[in-house]
Amino acid sequence: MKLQVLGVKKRYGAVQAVDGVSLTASPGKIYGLLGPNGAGKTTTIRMIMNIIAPDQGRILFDGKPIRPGDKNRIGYLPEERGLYRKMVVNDLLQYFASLKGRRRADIQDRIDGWLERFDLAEWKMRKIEELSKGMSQKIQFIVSVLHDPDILVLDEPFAGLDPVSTEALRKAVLDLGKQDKTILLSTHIMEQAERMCSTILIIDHGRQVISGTVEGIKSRFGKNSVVIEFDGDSEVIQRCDLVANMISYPRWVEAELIDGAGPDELLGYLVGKVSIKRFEVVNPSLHKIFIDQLEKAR
Amino acid sequence: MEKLRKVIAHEFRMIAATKAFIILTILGPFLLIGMTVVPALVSQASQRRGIEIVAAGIPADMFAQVAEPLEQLGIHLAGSEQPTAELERRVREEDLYGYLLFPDDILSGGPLELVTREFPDYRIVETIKGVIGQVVMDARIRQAGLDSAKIRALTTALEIEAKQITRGGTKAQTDTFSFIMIGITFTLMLYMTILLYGQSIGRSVVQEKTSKTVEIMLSSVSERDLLFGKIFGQATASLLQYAVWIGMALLGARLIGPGLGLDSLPQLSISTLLYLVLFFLLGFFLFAALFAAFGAAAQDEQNLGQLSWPVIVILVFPMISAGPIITAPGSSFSIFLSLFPLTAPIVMFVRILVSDPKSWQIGLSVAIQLVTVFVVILLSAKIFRVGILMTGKRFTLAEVVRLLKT
Repeated sequence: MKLQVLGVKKRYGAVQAVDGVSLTASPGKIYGLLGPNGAGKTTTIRMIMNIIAPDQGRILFDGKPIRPGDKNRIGYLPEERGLYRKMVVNDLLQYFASLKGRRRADIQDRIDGWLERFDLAEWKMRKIEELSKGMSQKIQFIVSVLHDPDILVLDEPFAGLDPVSTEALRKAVLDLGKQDKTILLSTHIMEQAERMCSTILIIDHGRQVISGTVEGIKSRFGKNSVVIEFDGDSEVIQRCDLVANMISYPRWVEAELIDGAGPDELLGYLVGKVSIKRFEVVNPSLHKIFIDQLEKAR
Repeated sequence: MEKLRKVIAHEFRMIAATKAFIILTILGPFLLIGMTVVPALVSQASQRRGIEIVAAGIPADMFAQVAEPLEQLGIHLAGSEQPTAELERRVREEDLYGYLLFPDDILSGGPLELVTREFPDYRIVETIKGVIGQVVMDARIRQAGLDSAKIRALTTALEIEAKQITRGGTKAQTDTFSFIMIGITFTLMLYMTILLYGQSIGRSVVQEKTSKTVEIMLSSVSERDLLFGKIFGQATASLLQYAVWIGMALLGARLIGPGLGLDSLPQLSISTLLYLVLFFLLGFFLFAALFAAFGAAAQDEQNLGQLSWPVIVILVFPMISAGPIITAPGSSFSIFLSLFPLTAPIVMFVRILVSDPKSWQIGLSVAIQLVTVFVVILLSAKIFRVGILMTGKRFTLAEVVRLLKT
């Protein structure tokens, strides 16, 4: 099932939360919706989910506006996480699946399978309120995929998860992508999007900043960037005339060189000033492109 | 409809399958009995235990006439020649409940003094007044040379037998007092039910927002289904509890009522009973829908309390204006209140009890209430949808009204 968002706008009082966002997510692809906090990601997703209505623009499922039956074909993990705390895990999963039109008897195997996959099998008969935050987040993910939806909308799915759970969830999402599901994923963590998504859209203040495939964007903005790991003072690199701009940490920088400058020149400049551990010519990271474009847009 | 049915079933289970609900359903009647019957039994027992009162200065013939009847009513009266100072000491030391000081001029209106340590129980005062008063009055009549039995027969109060012509043409004997009692009981029952269950429906709607389950729900069902489901699911659970209680009460009244000396329940005609159920359900759903609307607008439970006070005021209004409605059930004031949806459930039922309102008025009242229930639920759904976006914001009533206009 293809999901199209065509020029949607939403205004809350004086704030233009979403200002003309368009995207197309297709089966088998993971689409990343990126942007800083407050960029309008959640508002866009709520409009896709038909929870709020756009002021302008259209949202199409396989080319048509949403119909009552479509809700059963969409899975949703909202940013605001919440489950009925007094319910037993298995009952809760049964209930939510039944609201998506699944029969109780048909769904039990899937429930067991997903609980097993996320290491939650022994919690099946426990109440939600007994679960840790990470566990209930995994349950919430299971709720969104249990009914085998064609479209999966995940709003910040990794927020607040420990590394082990993050990895389990990442694998699950990638697997679903391989099963020809249409997946829309919002995040503000660029590395994740870079590794998982084939296509991305970066928005800021409700407006589109960059969109396209990850490879396309990287080559489009792919000027000569170098990553340097070193011991010494990063100020030395900062002061170099060859560097147009850079993202720097105490012992690591990603620097973009000015037009016409080559990496060799920078390397020659640095020798003797800092102790170089690694020097690599790279495509700029999504993170760097993101920061650069946001600064430009603002 | 399928999803609505599932939401109703879920909400019903969330209420009815809890231990608290089951325990309250079973123990409720016993608690109620505990609160009403036990104090009555205790106070009866304390009265039966008997108290001792000394009568000072009582004429011998009068003592002979009053001692026996008072004894039967639990008051042991003893004559005494002791001086009042001694009697006072005995009362103070709780040797005596109290003493009566008979004046010499009791037959010409002199007051009887009752001296006790505690504030005297009104039942004891009334008993003494009744028994001794009758004897004193008879003595006065005899003193005047008249026949006391004849006088008593001549001064019997007039009795009025009220009969009412209904549209059906039949004459029914009306007992205003029992009608008022039925009206008050109905109002109190509705009032308590709404406070108990209506508020809990409002809370459950708020919790849908505070527990942040609302977005998941709305990704599967419409907000209308969610609110209708909540209201009807929880209402069904509440009504089930009520049915169990009423069933147990009727059974209890039949089994142990006669033993306790309780009179049989007031006789209601089938039509009155049906109206009672109908208006009870209408009132219940109406206020449940209103509480759901406030729950949809409220940010948290505290906020819900602040928003919903006007509902409580509206609910109390028919109780306050019960007098004019009962005395003039056909006045335009009463007719208006019986059609205005928020007062209609109580006022229309009371009008049906005490008079015979025109059928179109009853029909219109029911129709208005039904429409109001649905409109309020639809409005709640709208507030609910808008309210989701306003996380962290509290509404004032004025803002809720503004939201409804958008």
